[in-house]
Parts: sequence; C-alpha cells; structure tokens
Amino acid sequence: MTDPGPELDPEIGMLLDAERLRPEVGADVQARLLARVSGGLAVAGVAGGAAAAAAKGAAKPWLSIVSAFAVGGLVGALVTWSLRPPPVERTVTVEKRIEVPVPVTVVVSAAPPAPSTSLAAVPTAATKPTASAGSAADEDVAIQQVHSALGRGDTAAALAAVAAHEKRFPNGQQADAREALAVQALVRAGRRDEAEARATRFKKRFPGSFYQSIVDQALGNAK
Amino acid sequence: MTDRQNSLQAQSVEATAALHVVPAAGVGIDFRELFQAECSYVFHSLRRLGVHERDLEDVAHEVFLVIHKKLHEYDPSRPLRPWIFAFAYRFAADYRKLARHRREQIRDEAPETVDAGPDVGDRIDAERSRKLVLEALDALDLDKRAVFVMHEIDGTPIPAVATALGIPLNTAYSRLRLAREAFTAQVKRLRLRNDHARAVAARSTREAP
Repeated sequence: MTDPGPELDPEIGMLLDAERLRPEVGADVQARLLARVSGGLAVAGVAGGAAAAAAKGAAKPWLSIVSAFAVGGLVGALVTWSLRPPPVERTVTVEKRIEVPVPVTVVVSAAPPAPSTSLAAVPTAATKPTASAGSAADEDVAIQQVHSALGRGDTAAALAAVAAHEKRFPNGQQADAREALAVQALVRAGRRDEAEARATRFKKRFPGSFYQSIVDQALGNAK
Repeated sequence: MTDRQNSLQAQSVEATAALHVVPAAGVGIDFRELFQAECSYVFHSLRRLGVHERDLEDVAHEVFLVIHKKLHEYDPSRPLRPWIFAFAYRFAADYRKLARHRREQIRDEAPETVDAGPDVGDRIDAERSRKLVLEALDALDLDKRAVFVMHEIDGTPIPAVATALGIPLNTAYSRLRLAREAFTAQVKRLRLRNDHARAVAARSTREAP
C-alpha cells in the first residue's frame, strides 16, 4: 500500500509554512556549540599548536609540542568552562573567542529525489550498549580532562585521565580520540616504545580514523 | 603549511584550529562548513522530534559528534539532510526515553517570547503557528512524527524518507497517512482549546471590577 491518503488541508499547510520559516539558531548558540564540538574533536597537539605557534611566528608551529599542549589546554579549559551553567554566562565568553570568518560554501539540497544512506547501515551511538545521552555527555567531560591535563603539561595526569576514560568507556564514542591522546601523552612523557605500541594498536583498531594523522604527528611520522 | 592553514593560524582561535583537522575525514566535506550550514537544521529537526528547547544544545552536540565520526561513511552523491536527520531521529528517540519521566515538567514551562518590532504582529502570529505545530506534533508517536516532519516540513520524498529511516516504503506511506490524520485532528482540538481559553479570559476581563 503506497497511498499516503489525502493531502493536508491547505490551511494546515500554512501552519507548516510558519514552521519551515523557523528562525535560524542564534550566532551565539552556534558559536558555543561549535566550541563544544570542536573541543570534543580536537586533539590538543595539532589544534593548539596551530594557534599558539602562529602567534609566535614559528616556522612549523604545529610541530611544537610545548605550544601545542599549552594552547590545547586552553581548548580544554574553554570547553570545560563552557559546559558550566548558567548558559548565559557561557554565551558571552565563547562568543568572543569563536569568530569563524570563513564563509559557508556547502550547498545542500533539502529534498532531492535520490535515496539517502540507510540508517540501518549507519551505526550510531544509540546502537551502542555503552552509549546513551547521559553517558555521551559524561564521556565528553572525561575526554576534556585528558585535554586539560595535556594542556598543563601534566602527562601523568593525562595518562591517568586516559586510564579512567578507558575503564569507564572502553568502547565509547571517543575511544579513538582517547587513544590518540594517549599516544601523545606517552610521547611527551618520554615513553616512546609504549607510544609506538599503542599507535600500532590504534591503527589496527581504528582503520581510517581521522585521528590517525594526529597519532602520526605525535610520533613524528607525519607525511 | 598551506595558505589555508596559515589563515586559520592567524585567527588564533583554538576551536577553529581544532576543526581545521577535521576535513581530513575523507569524503571531501569540510565538517566545519557542514556544521555552519546545518546547525539550524539539526536544532529544528530535534525540536520537531520532541527535544525540548533547553536540551537542544546538548543533544545537538551529540548529534554533531556522531556526524563527524560517521562522515567518512556518507555518500556525497546522496542528499545530506535525510542522512543527518537519521542521526537526529536516533538521538531524539534516546532523549525521549530518558525524558519521559520529566515530560510534565517540560510542558509546564513558559512560552517563548517574541521581541517587539515593526512587524511584531506577524512575528507573534508566526510564533503562535509554530507553537501550535510543535504541540500538535506531540500527539504523534516518534516513528510517525519522523516521517511527517521529513516529508511535510523538510519536503523529503517518501522513498528517501523510507531509505533514511530504514523502513519499508509501504510502512513510510502508511505512517505518513496516519500522521496526517492525527496531526490534523490534533490541530483542530488545540484550536478549540485555545479558542475556549481565550473566551474564558475575555469573559474574566469583562467581569473584573
């Protein structure tokens, strides 16, 4: 049966027109969310290194581990801070920090006729037994603790935070981020052999992960 | 170091630099650009799927983290929004399970406000319409609601809806038919209720000393 029944009454359709014209999300909210998402995705070494070393005019700033972790810490601190209530206070500060002048170039069709990727083929957090709305937020905080420790240059604390995350979220959404951070922390702690062993396991466990480039850079294998 | 990288560095914006690494995710879509283009869509979709205003940011955060994680699986030859909607649908389902116990509290919260301005009348009318739509959507279970929102609001063709949600085509059509009926009936009920409430309020005002 492929009959969807009668079309909606035009008067009902006008209501939906209003809903379709729902105003865009405020720039402050977008900026705050961008900061949170980027904090969840960022690996301190690369993200922070770019910003800090640029300020110093270094030739290859992203290779500077010290500056990387220093500013990476700011990312962690920024995001950790941004998670604190009340939201109004978060808005003010994050809005100042997040200015993204690069124009949006992606053009997306709302309703082209081609079929989309099946949800059944797209495993999500919701399909993982260990992930729920609450645990995902907790996991985010746990990852930020690793970021913050690395930012402080406290590799012992970073590795402790990694171990805590691993114990609590062994197969969490951000397990690959955790492992990449662990490699960075081990390199920074001078435990090169362990870092390389962990990097090898990373590659096997997360083939194709975008964090692979981060791991490679931490070990100095960047292409 | 590319010009683009140098440009990002010059901004000295930590979060921007963090996202700069993301385009390496593989399919030629810059996650940051996707975020900027689709942030409102994700918020609106979650709202239409029953996520409360105050929780939108948290749920959208989770949606975008997973979108990033799965971006390499996205086929750029296919429409992006139904793919994104599927994630929003999943997280909205989880949210509704978690939020069920506090639904009454959520419904009792104050209405959204509309800033005054030259077109304030139109904006109030539009806001009323939007509130009515969201309230009427609450009468639908999530499965029908998702089909209705994708097709009637987003304009996604039903075959694409069925594919995105992983349901048979016939099921999608059936859900759409039932959703249309339920939504229309609920709008009528809500209007009667609102008319009655306004009449009572007007009578109270007239009878006030």
